[in-house]
Amino acid sequence: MHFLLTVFFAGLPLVASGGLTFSERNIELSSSPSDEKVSFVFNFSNDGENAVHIEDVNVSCACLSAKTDKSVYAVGDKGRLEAVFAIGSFTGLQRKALTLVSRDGDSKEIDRTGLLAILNIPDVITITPELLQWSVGEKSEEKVFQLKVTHSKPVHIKGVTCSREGFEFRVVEKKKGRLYELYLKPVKTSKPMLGLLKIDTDCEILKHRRKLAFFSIARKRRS
Amino acid sequence: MRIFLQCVLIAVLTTTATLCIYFFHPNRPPLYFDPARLAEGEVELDEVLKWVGKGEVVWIDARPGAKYAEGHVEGAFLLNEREDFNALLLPIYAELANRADLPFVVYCGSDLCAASARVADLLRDRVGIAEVFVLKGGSKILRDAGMLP
Repeated sequence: MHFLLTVFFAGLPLVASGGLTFSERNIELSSSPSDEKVSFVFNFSNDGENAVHIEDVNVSCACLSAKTDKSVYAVGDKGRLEAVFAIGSFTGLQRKALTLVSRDGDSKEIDRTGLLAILNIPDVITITPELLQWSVGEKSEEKVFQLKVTHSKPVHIKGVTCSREGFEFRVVEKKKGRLYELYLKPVKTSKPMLGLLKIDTDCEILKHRRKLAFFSIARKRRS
Repeated sequence: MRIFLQCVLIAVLTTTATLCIYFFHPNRPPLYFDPARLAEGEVELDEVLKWVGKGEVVWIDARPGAKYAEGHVEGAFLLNEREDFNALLLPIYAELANRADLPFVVYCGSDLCAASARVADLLRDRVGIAEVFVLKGGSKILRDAGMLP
């Protein structure tokens, strides 16, 4: 008897999460490169003993909007938390947290249920490195960006412009529509400055048609 | 002896439950709370205001454009990933580049908002700005200070 009571009280924290039961608390999904938004749903049911009142759905990012299909779930009700993620310029693996804030029956205690959406947003064109740097006074030698097309269709560079005078650049096509190298060299490195290359392509997806590659001549950071 | 063993058993079971929650629960609380502790790359408003007095800071607003339009810190530039970072950056790039020697301070909705940290990373690692900080407390602190409507 004592043992059973002990096990019961020790195990209580593990089950104290309110009356809602989620089929999944973590969702993984992917988007296609042309998507502007991704929608997803967390399904749940009220397996508790009281009606559950939804107080709020908090999100970790202004890029996310989320709401439940009802504000009160009776015992046995099934529910949906529907969320929409605005992709914008996000790429790669994005982890976005949501918190469902609810109240069990007439209780004043608030339950918070954490949910996680893991979104894989494919990039179409990757530029490596993201930033080319020279130090002030460094030898003025050529450095290179690599532009790789990861899209299913080939993408071609139509034109490149440099935001700064005093830099020489050239484009080398390593594999047509798939791999390019952009070589960049400052005429001199006597002054700190920032600049960028605007790379215009024929990518069918408008938001990926122009890419930027950044460079700088940097001096030591102030302490 | 029997009571002592039961106490030990209770302690072991509750510690195990606590550790399981700490390592696996998505909403676990921190083990300690130190409100004065700054995360790496964070800065408090008091420190920034010293720079503002000398005209030596660039404000970056990482909130959505609609929030920025409602009101922003005087002279702040809008940059976020939600609405295409590069598209927002291009029109203001020359101005930012000309002020690249100054510290950049990024703010968004709150301490829980990850947008400012992400924009700070992009400014530092991609654009090449040397000194970029995230404002601790976000727009709430600025509102309390009367710098945001």
